[in-house]
Amino acid sequence: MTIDDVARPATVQEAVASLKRRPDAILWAGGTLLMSDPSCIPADRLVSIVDIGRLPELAGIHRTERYVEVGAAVTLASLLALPKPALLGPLAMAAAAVGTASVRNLATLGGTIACRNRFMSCFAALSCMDAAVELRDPRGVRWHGIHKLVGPGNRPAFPEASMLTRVRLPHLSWDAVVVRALGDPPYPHPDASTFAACARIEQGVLADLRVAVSGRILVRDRSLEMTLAGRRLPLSRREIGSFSSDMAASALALSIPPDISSRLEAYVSAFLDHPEEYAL
Amino acid sequence: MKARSRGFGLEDGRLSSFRPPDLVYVATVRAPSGPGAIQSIHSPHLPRDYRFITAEDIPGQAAMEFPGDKVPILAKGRVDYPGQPVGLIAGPDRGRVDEAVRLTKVLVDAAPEDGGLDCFGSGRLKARAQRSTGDVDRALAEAATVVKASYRLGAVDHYYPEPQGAAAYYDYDRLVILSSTQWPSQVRRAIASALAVDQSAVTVLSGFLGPHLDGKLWYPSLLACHAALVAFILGKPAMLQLSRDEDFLYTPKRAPLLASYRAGMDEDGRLCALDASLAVNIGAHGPLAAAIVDTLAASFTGPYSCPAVRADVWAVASDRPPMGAWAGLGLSSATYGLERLADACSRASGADPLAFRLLNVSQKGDTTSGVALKQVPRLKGVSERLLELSDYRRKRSAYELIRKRRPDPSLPPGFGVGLAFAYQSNDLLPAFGNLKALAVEAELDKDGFLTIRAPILPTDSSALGVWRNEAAAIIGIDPKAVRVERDAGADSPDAGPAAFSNAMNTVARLVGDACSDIRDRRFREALPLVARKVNRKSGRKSSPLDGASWAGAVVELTLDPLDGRPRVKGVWLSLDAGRVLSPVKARLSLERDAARALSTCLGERFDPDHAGPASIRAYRISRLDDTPPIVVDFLDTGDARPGGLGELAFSCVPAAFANALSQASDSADSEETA
Amino acid sequence: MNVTFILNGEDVACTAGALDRLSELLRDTFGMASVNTDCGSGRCGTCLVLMDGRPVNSCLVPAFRARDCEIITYEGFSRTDDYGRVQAAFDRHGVDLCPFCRPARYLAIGSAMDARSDSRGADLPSVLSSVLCTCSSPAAVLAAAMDALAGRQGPRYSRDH
Ligand SMILES: Cc1cc2nc3c(=O)[nH]c(=O)nc-3n(C[C@H](O)[C@H](O)[C@H](O)COP(=O)(O)OP(=O)(O)OC[C@H]3O[C@@H](n4cnc5c(N)ncnc54)[C@H](O)[C@@H]3O)c2cc1C
Repeated sequence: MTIDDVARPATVQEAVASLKRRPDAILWAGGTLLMSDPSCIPADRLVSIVDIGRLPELAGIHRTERYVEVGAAVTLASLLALPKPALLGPLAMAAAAVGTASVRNLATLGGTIACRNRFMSCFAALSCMDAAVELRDPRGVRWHGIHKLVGPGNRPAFPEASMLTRVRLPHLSWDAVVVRALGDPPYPHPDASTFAACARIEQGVLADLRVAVSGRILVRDRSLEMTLAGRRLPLSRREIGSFSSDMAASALALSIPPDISSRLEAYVSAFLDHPEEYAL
Repeated sequence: MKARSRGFGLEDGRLSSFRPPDLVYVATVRAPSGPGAIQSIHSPHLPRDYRFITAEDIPGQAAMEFPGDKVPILAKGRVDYPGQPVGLIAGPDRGRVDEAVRLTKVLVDAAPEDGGLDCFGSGRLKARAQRSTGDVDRALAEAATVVKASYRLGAVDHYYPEPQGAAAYYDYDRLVILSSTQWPSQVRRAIASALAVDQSAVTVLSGFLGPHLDGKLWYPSLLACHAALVAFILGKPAMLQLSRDEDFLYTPKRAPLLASYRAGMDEDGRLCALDASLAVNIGAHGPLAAAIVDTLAASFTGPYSCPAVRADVWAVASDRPPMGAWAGLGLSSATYGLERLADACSRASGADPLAFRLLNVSQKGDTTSGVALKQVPRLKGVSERLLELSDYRRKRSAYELIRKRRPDPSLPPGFGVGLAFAYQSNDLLPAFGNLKALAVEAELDKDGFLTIRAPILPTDSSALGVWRNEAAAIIGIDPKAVRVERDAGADSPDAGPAAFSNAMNTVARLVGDACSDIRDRRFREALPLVARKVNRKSGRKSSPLDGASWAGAVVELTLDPLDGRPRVKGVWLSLDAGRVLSPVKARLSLERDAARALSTCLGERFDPDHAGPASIRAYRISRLDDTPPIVVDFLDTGDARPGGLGELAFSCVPAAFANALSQASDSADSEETA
Repeated sequence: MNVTFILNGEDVACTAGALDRLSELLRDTFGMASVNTDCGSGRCGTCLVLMDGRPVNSCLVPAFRARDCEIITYEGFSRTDDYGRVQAAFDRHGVDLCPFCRPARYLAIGSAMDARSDSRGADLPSVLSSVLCTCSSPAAVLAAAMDALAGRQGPRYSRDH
């Protein structure tokens, strides 16, 4: 691999200008994925790098009544260092499981979202949170729901020559949250997947339920989730059984391997069986 | 002899600090597949200062000789396993050397062979050991209950602090080798034979050894031969250091074990027959095959009494990289199988696991281990303390209630507590090697300085400090006046495989004896005073159980309701290891060993049959924050002799863990009761 | 490319490939023998250095990213008072770390002692867990580290940030 240029823009605008000049440039955030997975850097062409990891505009965290807005270059360690990381619910749990503390001092939130060939482990959490992302490219700035980054066949579809600048995380208070590796192969195995589930419980009723799996493919079935909304807890065996087997069937339909799909069924069923055990 | 600073940055014994001027880096060209015939080797054009070395360049013997096996220094004509070294590339720039290795193409006409343990022909036998007493078939036929069970242990990586390697350089006409080895004299012998030089022309300096878990017995000799060959041919200092991935894939792992048993019990739950067949996969080369099968055969009955016992133990060759020892050769594997079986037997006889063990523990005069016992195995004290520490009884019955009364038997009960016992004995030293050669010399000079020369030294500086303090206390001098050296001269006895971890106690005892001798003569004879103590013990005249150290472990765990993974809540260890020289150090080393032993049960999975670059990424060694609370307690029994400690946790913690897991998952793997 | 940064308090410069690993630069160009180049993929943590006060795996930092940063290695840390505190705490606990993990572990503790550090989310056990080494008792390492920190921070440190 030959690096022919490392741009160090001082502003987001300059970074976008660099992208315009070299649409195939690699945006370098924390570099933890880029440095640990050689396949991320093309070996057969000249490579241009745009260093966005130290852009002050991407390093901010702002809080409003309704959401937290996080710059794409905020490190996972900084996210976890927020005074109340629990407010970030599943994201805090997912971020805490990425690498080690010293890796998280480098790894950024943007880097977990913008990986081109798989959904990294925070993606399942961000999907559950219905996060929104701000994307910039030479044509302008747009906010999208995170699922805009999910393409046909539920595969990753981060737009080429675009930069993720901010992530908006709605404030939703969850009563039960769990994020776990789904099955055996740990990161960085290509089949490594992450399971995230969260639930809001109001007066003994399941007010909101979200379940997602990220890996090679994203699994999330909003309409299925809605079928349990408003049900009284504890759910019946039948309710749990049919929801979890439908979830596994959705995964199978998306060509998630059968062993991982059946694990998903077991995870969902265990979560729905005793959501109170996953209180934050 | 410890590595001494020669301005080469060796102060800390780290191979990676070796930076003499003119250094050449050495990297290994490996067979991409195997076993099979080497069709061709194409190396890229190398610049002038670089050299490609093959087996043809070895001036002396092309293979290292071990009892029962030969290990080629570089493969010639044929490779026995994928990854076997076929050549070396050496040169001044590490990056270019690595690049040249990448560009070298080795073509092998590979024909993989079967490597399993379930079924193998005599052609794959590397070593075999048998032991029997009494009529096992008859005893099994007459037994009230017969339990059939089999257990497996997988390959485990030693994960040394520094990947293995070696350096070689000339100090005038002497070839000096820096090697992190448990067996320096073996390194010297191997190099002398490969280079066709006299052993006296080779000096071996011990690099930093760290927790070696008996993985650095013979493989360092192979790497040292590689470095020495380059230094010899190029006349420059040479260093070969494996990458972490190479170390993971190609240095010997714990040999996988398949242990199958038939155990017969009478109506009272006493063992009346034990039939064991134990097979280890030793890989393509097995320099330790004989030692491992001997240890397995010698230790398969553990501390238990049984009138009719039979063991058939095989080291089975396969087409995988060489496998080898893990903390005590076969002892930890034998203990694992036996302590799992003890739980299976207790289940079958309806007894509590501890009660079953105590009922069956050998008594004075018992001959199950092959020699009449002089002492009762010290399990009672260990178990009493263990129960106290861990609250085992209460937990066990509470979890049994949960197991039996759970509303949905298709779901695992989720709670388990297990126990296991283990011993470590100097008398289990492997069959090959010259035990009698273990000798220690102490010299008190005219200035009051004491020099101790021993064939092997403790692996960490703190243990060395304990020796110094002990010696100083015996003679009545300042510990600062005590120097300890490894006796590495050409005429020094080969400590042989006595360099296994449990030999250290024999040497420690000899150090004590030599110092006592000097103390007794100190004011009666003129200085300097020299005392030489030679180990008179040979072979296994006494039972390995007499004078052994004892340990019991309890592991408590729950199964995570979501992912079903075991979460260990605590580990308790109680030990009777005679006099503990340094209680703090001993506790810390046991805590460390228990944490590592537990880690091997949790995420350390390696399948040699499907090994590849991704294997190391999937191999999860527990980190500091994964480790549960570990309680270690030493019994003070007033015994004056210090006993070995280094293998105990590796022997009993995995079995206690697996026994707890059986209770928590209500499954006992492959057990049958007839 | 030309890379300038502050290494252990001194301005340094070197020529390097943009993606050369900082760990290798530190070891090979600047002779920082404490920095290991072991796994090269962020797993083992024995190449840990402090980059602008935070512990990071220097094998994951490309040369271009080191520009204008302040890097502290064990060699630099060992000249500080905090080093003495860490060393004394390990001595008190009888823990003798191996030469491969000692630099990284001491730096990890040093970073937690640094008043500028905002590693609140990453508490001490997880910072220490960045380093993978099996040479010592995990509980004793943690106890020694907490002792060192207690000496420096008084009651400010708690495990449940
Ligand atoms: C030891 C170790 C363990 C790890 N464990 C895990 C794990 O358990 N789970 C997991 O998910 N990951 C894991 N990772 C991978 C990785 O560290 C994380 O996913 C991390 O969050 C990536 O962030 P980064 O800032 O380092 O990304 P980078 O490496 O900088 O970039 C990753 C990709 O995203 C692109 N990118 C980054 N930022 C932007 C942006 N703002 N806009 C557009 N594109 C962008 C880059 O071009 C690149 O393609 C691990 C890595 C290591 C070294």
